[in-house]
Amino acid sequence: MTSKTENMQPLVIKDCNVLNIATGVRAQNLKELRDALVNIHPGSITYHFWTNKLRPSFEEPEYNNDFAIWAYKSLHDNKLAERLSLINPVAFSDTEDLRKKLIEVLDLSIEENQSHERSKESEKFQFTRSEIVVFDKEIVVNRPEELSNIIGELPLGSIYYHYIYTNEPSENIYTWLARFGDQYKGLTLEIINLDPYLYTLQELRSRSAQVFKDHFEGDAN
Amino acid sequence: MSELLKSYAKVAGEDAVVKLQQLAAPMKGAKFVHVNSTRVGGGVAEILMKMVPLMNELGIDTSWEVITGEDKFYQCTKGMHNGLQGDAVNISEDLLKAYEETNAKNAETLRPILEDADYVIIHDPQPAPLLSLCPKRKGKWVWRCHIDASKPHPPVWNYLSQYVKDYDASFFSLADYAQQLPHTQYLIPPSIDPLSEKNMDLDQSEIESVYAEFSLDAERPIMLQVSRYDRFKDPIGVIKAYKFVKESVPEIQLVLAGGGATDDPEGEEVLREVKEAAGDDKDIHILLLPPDAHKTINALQRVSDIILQKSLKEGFGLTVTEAMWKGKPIIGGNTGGIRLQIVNHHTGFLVDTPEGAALRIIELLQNPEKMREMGINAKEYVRENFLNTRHLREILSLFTILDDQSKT
Repeated sequence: MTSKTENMQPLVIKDCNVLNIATGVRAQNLKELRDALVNIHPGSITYHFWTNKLRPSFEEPEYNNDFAIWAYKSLHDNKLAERLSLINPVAFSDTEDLRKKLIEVLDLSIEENQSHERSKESEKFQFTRSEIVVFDKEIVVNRPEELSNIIGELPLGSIYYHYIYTNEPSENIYTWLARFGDQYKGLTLEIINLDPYLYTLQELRSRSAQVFKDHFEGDAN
Repeated sequence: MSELLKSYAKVAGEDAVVKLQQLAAPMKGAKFVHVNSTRVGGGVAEILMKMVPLMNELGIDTSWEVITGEDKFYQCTKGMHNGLQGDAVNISEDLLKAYEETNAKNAETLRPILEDADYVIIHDPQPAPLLSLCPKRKGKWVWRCHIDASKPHPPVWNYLSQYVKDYDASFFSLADYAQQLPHTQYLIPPSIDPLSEKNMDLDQSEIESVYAEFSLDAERPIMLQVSRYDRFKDPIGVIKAYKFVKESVPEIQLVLAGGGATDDPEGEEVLREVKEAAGDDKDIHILLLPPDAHKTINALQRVSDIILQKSLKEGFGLTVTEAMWKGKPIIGGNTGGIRLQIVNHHTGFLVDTPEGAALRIIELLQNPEKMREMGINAKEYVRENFLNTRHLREILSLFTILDDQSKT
């Protein structure tokens, strides 16, 4: 008879390359943004909430999704930016619900807003989506202790893949940890509590590394 | 890992090369063809010059073919280039006929190679009709647009799109350039090669040799723009900016370093206008460099204090990336691909006018610490985003995706 943890599938570490795709759909004001959202490819909504985290940046983003950032930077509508930013995609079970929520928030702003602010021509909202190519990092992790040793050094593509992109139970960090059951329940809960939407990938990586370190150093003590 | 790949790993990181090897593995031995219209001069030729050997090193059987034509063909394609960039050009039937006939003639020679290829990238409008002229093609064909086509003149795009629409995919440098097409339009910015003569490290003596060669004063600040003599590069605007700077910083020197591309018939006329605007100012150095003056340009960029790319339209502007790779702050026109490379206030400044450029130049010359910090940011930004290892990774990813799609 083997223990539950011995039956666990290892976590095969992956990295990914995201290839951006222009949808050709653009918006210059709220109404155009709202109308485009009705039919835009669901992958584009995912892109502007999640894949944007892989974009290089020198600054902390003011807000966590591209819709909010555009409302703030290009329409100068801080109120709308705050409302859009509060939409946390983690709380939505599928992209269609997320789409409905976005449209609802935009409708409210369109109703309130009489200014009809337009972005500059060069700052149109460009609806983008992406496709992904996955790479094998040739690193296999059998137990959370092993992940603890390497997580702080993983490339951001790996963090994106294992935390955000994949729903495959043996590859998704949350489901992989949960499979170990009660033995790592505390650690799993702490990792789940790191809401990936609220952090940059760098922050998610460093905070995760700290959680693992605290957990295992605590055990050792 | 071969010596060449090791050299790339040293500059771009081992992970970048390992990813290329993983992507190239299923394509080993496959025939990959690039087609453009010039082997020297201009950004496309520079990219291919280094990318083709790198692809071969990865085991992909890669060749680079160049179509050739007469004056009327280049007049037509220059018109298309300008039209895609938004000029209301009127391309005559006579020139379009030359375009079609030139492509048909080139297809006679290239057809066996192209129809046999597994992967083909056709660069820019010049060879775009080749797909329609290779009916027995077996591979995946992708059209690459290097031009800022954000607001094309409609008749020009309508004409060209009849050839482009049948490709398996296309790719552009920015989302803004994408058009209405029936296939997927990927976004892949171009890149520089860190090992090329234009970007490699140089000995100090080689760098300093340009002072004497071009009568530059090593003790006085230098501002530089490297680009073809083309109105969209706004060399006259650079001279205006220099004149504004001169009022506050009399010791400033300006170098305009350009050459011609074999597919650009307007260069000489623009050069004459530039010389006229410079007048007899001894501190303006207008250089006409041969297409192989890569080390000279490299050295000029390294001796300069500030580098400009004040384009009015720019598909991407590899000279921006080159300057950033030398650790220099750059002042660029707020247009096209320059906006992707210059992170305003972090790796340089984006400007809309000669006055704006002058203001930032004066600001930087008075703050050497800021110049140094921007230069460091700029170099790291290029390392992460604009080296040819990243560029090739995305191209190979694109064809991997196309292959996967045709299997399902």
